[in-house]
Amino acid sequence: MRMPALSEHVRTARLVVAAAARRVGVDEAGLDAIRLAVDEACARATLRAASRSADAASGHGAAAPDSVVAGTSPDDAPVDDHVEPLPADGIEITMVDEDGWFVVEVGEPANLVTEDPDVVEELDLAARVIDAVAPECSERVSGQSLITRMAWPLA
Amino acid sequence: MEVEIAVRRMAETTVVAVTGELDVYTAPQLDDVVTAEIDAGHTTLVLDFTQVEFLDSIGLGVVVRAVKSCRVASGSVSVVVATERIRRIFEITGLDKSIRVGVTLEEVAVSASTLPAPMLPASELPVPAPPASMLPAPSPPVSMLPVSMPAGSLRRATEGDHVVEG
Repeated sequence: MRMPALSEHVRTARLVVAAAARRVGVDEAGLDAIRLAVDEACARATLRAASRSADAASGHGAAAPDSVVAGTSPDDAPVDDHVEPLPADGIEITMVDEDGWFVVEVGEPANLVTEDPDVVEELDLAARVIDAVAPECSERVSGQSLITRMAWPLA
Repeated sequence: MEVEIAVRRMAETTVVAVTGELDVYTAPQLDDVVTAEIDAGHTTLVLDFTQVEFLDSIGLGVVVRAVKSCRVASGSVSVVVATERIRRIFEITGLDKSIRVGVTLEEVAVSASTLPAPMLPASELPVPAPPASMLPAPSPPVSMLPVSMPAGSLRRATEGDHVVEG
């Protein structure tokens, strides 16, 4: 699933991921955690994207998709290695049923840096929430994307 | 889902009731309302989250900013939550230790002297309250609070008091 890093799409993202998690058997407690963690990861991406709005307005960023596009789900094939890189203010969410775990990866452009203290504080708070509700959580840089990987055990 | 925000006065307390979901999209609306209330001098706030169905760290950020702003004005912020799901967000972030979180409006309106002092670093302790500082009375029930409080009937915060209102 790809979407612009805009706050109005974050709710859609958390609902879609929660629905997918429910289909593969995640329990209610897990659904609450997944909904929150995905929300926080997407919110972080929107905050970072917004903090770079001046750069985007100057034309340094690539064009973002116009709407949320349904993409990979636990039933789909793995992501194509040749998928075009994320736009400057885009978010990509993948979901995989992997060895008894429901894995969600939220990707955003890796070059998003902000020094705004208010935003940094919010990002820190979001990270703490993700750490608390995702049994497995990690970040990595893959190509030009920062990937937040979160996983919950299936029932 | 949109968020609905209602403001009402209860004696010296302003209750901001929120219905719906507080996330990165809707939290700014609450931020605007709370900021307007604080700017208007209403710095004893109760945030009624009993009808909030979703709350994330961005929504919490609004609460934190309100706490900081009200503290500067020697006011207070309390929060009412009805569900474990919403309360857990405060616990996860540790904010339940520095913000009064109750289950009912009456509970958070109890005088700070009856509650254990939240633990905060010294740099986060509030400045001494000016003589005009007032706290909500512990009783009667909220619906029966008088429009104006009799002078001298409320506990006055004093310098060195470790109780944090918000």
